[in-house]
Amino acid sequence: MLKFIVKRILWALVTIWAIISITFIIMHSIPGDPFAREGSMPEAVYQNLRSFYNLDEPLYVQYGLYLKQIAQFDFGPSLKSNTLTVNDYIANGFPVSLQLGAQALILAVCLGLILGVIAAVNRNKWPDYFAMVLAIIGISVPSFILATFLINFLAVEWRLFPVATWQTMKHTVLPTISLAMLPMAYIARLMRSSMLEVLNQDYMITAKSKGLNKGFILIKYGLRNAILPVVTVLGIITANLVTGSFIVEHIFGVPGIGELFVKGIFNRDYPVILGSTIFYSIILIFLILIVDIAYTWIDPRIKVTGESK
Amino acid sequence: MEKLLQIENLNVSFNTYGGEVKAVRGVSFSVKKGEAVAIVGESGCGKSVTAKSIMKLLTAPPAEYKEGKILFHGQDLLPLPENEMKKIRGNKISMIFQDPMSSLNPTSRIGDQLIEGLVKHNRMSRAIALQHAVQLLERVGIPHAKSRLKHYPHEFSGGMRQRVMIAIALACDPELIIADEPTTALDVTIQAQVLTLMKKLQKETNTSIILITHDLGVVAEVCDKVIVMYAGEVVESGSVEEIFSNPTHPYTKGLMKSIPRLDMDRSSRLYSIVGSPPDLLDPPKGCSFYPRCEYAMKVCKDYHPELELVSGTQQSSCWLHHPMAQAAAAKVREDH
Amino acid sequence: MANKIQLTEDLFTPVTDNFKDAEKIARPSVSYWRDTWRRLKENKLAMFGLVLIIILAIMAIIGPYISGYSYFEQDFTRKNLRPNAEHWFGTDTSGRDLFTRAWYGARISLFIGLMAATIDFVIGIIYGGVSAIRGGRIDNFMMRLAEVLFSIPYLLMVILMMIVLERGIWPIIIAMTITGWIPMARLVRGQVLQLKELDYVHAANAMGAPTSWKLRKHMIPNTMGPILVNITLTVPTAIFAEATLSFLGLGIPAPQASWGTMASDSLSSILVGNFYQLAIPALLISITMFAFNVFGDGLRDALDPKLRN
Ligand SMILES: Nc1ncnc2c1ncn2[C@@H]1O[C@H](COP(=O)(O)OP(=O)(O)O)[C@@H](O)[C@H]1O
Ligand SMILES: [Mg+2]
Repeated sequence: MLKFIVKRILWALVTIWAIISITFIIMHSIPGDPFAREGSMPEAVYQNLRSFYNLDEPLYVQYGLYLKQIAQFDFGPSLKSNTLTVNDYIANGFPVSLQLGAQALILAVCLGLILGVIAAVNRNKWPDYFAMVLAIIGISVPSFILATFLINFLAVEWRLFPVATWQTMKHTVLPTISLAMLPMAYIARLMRSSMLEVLNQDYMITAKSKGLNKGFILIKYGLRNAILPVVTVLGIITANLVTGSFIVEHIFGVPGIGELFVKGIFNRDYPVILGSTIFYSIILIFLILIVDIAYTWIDPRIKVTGESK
Repeated sequence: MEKLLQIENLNVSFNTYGGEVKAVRGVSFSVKKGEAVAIVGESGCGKSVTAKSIMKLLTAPPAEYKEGKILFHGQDLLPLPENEMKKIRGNKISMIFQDPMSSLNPTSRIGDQLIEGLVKHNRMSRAIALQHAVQLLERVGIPHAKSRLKHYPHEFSGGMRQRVMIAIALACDPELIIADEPTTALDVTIQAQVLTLMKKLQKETNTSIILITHDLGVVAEVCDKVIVMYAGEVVESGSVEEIFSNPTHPYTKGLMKSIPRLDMDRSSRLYSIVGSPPDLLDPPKGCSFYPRCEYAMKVCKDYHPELELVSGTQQSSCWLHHPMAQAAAAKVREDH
Repeated sequence: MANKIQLTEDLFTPVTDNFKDAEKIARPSVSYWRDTWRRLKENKLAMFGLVLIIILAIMAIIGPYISGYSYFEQDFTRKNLRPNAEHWFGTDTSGRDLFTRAWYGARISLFIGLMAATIDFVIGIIYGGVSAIRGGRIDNFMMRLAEVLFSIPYLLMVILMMIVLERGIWPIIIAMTITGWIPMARLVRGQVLQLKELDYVHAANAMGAPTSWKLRKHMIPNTMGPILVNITLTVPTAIFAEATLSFLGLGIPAPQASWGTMASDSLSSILVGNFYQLAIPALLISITMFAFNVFGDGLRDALDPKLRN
């Protein structure tokens, strides 16, 4: 088990290294020198940039120093501000993004699981159709369209919710729904097919033949087994939430890392773009690592393979 | 002896896209207290559907109990509400399934799966039920029973898992155990061990058993009575002695011939009946076995033979028993 | 009951031609694809999706020529017109005909989707095939490499690539396929490994001739099935990604239009009440996503032999 965990951690480190290298390559292949001093760039920013990227050194030294700085969680200066670094931006934005992401994830997982189970248990009846129509809509409507529709109707026309910004809990409702819809739909569909498969398993009949209650069978035999495939895709779901948050945060004016990233793109503020990319990647890889390890604990069959390998 | 279970004219169908699959068609038989009854037949002839019907385990739809009675202690189970059925399942009647690999919950400990019935039906506390579970595992011959309780199904071998299934079936001291091909999925050496165990336990507890199998060899050792099923119908039934010494239905004869014997020449190929069972979406009008029967007559094609008493307790449904078929029947006797 | 019928001695003469009936009874065996097609036809939702796809494709071809307006012609005297007899979908903020633009956009969006799916397919077949056939260390290395690349969220990777590349159709397609081929490669690898397994078994059995027959009859369809489904589901993913890129200002440059650029250009118009300008591309994107998703799902169900009945 320990060996398995150590191996997974090492692998995660390799992946992070690869991602950092990719950002380095990207930074150096952006058309039109990103390090060139534009007319509007203040002298101080220009100097910060030169020193962070060690532009006076040969390329391989630049790469080594870049790795070292990132390893120390130093993402460098922003091109657009001479007082705030990328680290400051991330530190400001992360709590907001974390709250939005966590709310959306919880909503997506809970609602997705419930819808999936209801659909599977009532296969080919109206609750199934209802849940699957909802899921198809969730998958078919891009989040920026959903978000605009929500703003247009719920906020502008009916004034049920504030249009934008991020202050009270009420402000978080629409962004959370917009962000949660796609992963919710994804989970609901996955859960439905997983549950249908489990319902067909022999052990479900064994359970029935023991005279157990329907609810008990559904939870202890059905849910417990059907949920396993959903756990394995939690990593992908979170990645989805991250990329979804760029758009949702931008539309609703949520001051998180997603908005930071989008503004970085509009402003061509490359250190901000790459810094938030690396930051997100590290978080994602860390999360996937946790999911993998948690999975060995949830599925008793995996533990043995982990030990023996 | 008291009749524990009596099935009368049971008809079960599945409503599928292709139409109505008539899986069980007019099956009747009875099981007495302490009796071991075998149901034999090729796969697909309705043995499992009959077995699951007894406990009403089939999901409806697509399954539909069309007709008949399943009398347990004289009480018809078919109209019984689900709440009452639950009190019988696992408590009065329990079931052992074919594939021990897939019939245990992979994410739940063996101990938990053993005690579920005890906690539900006998209202035992967890702790007491777990003590009981240790005894159960010991009875079915699982070593280190106490520590095994914490293990998951995948940590057991196939034979051991089937022993666990047997322990689960025994847990609430049922009056009837239905074993649906309990050894088919196991290695040959393990099969014998599991069967011996079942026989021993049946003797000890005087429980009634319905043993479903497509292997007639198993039947002679364990059972008192044999029901031969073909295409959803009972084609022959009787005591083990009657059926083995004097099989009268051509299908039963075919099954007998296909039992591998020790005195057989190794190189000679095992006999098998030509063709496959009919499509139950559209069962033949006459005898279902007609297309595969060596002794078929014109009458068999369009007229359905009825189950008739042929001798002692033996019943058989075949036109060869008809008085007008004496010539053909004589030829059959010559063949043997 | 049979005894009530008049039975004659003649009926009890033995017959020998009864065995012929045994053969007849077996259900007619239909070929794999015919069978798949039959099951697909039974799935009304999937067929609805297919019809939508066909309509969209036809309109993408002929749609831009129907109204007589070009997609780039601006007419400031006729801007922001609501849908009317002259302009069926209305006009945009520069007075361009939205009907023509919508179907021109369909062309671009579908082209991007189809090209991305095709390129993913080609690269995936080559990479996955080589990996599986070579096996051993090469396989291990190739799959690890794919895994590292794949741990960067798809959309994030696409966005990063678009920062490096120029704007335009082909750069977008390249950005989408740079890691988009990985799921296909994994799929192909898995299928080829199965094929190898089968080859091996057959060689061991020295069956000779039946191998190629079995390959054709069972394995190729079984292999093509999941791949076909994957292609079908890549199209909506690419359209989705293109829409998101447009939203971030990284999409197709003006005056060309895709549904994504049309939608993101019209985001501001909803504030002045021109909701239809967003609704049209939004609806078209959603319908396309819906059509490909339900068709892909239906195809998967139809191809899955487990669900055969
Ligand atoms: N869920 C079902 N839907 C449709 N047909 C079924 C279903 N279950 C069983 N059948 C049909 O019922 C017949 C009897 O099956 P079964 O009782 O399982 O045979 P066996 O004697 O091998 O146990 C078979 O022809 C099978 O195709
Ligand atoms: Mg069976």
